[in-house]
Amino acid sequence: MIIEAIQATLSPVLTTYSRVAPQEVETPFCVHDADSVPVRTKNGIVGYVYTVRVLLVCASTADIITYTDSIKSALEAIAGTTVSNTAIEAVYFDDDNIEYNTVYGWHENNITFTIETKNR
Amino acid sequence: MAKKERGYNIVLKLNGKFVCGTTENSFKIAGEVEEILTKEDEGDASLEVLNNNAEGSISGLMMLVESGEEETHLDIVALRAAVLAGDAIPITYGKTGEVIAGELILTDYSESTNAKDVGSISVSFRVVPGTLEINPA
Repeated sequence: MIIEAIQATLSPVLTTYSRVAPQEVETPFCVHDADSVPVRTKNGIVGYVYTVRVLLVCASTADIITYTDSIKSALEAIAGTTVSNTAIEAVYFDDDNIEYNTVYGWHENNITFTIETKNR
Repeated sequence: MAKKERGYNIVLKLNGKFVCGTTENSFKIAGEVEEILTKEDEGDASLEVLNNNAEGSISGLMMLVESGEEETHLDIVALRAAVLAGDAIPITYGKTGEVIAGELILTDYSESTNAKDVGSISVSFRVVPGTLEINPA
């Protein structure tokens, strides 16, 4: 599954959670989730296109920039490989949006990727 | 009771082969009609079908056959060659047991590729007049 593949890819970079982080988490960390759309041909499903969102949370702007680059590099490096039984065909960085969270006093970056896979 | 037909059941095969990555087919039979009005008709014109012209299209993802698929699938390499050759190609169109057969000529072939998505192809064809048969033996 793509969630497992992303978890396995980003875990070595920083503390990584799927969908939700614990209440007492320390920065830096990231939370990711993914939506899929199957690619259907008349011969059946030939792959999946995932929209993957990674929410990066850091204590400083400098950390946001550093970890954003690390996350991009890690995900782009899995294109053409198989991770957690998911065959990754292509990884595209779509956009990101850096904000300061006034409630928690940390910096956030909402990073979006498109990931195409051969299987789920 | 009438039954819905899923689009994926309606398949166009060229030379008995699927076209890799096909997501959509169209097929159209248009009668070539002439209005006849003689004095015997006393002002009420009649219509006469002179001929039937059939045409259609294939569109889908740009894909290449993988090992072992050559016998059953055509890809963009074969399509490009077929367009350039301009030869009539035997076809079947429809679902198993309810097919239209005939011969077509590929008249228009286009590819579109951007910087991110899988490429797409679009092919138009015309059926060679007089070759269409419904459920041939």
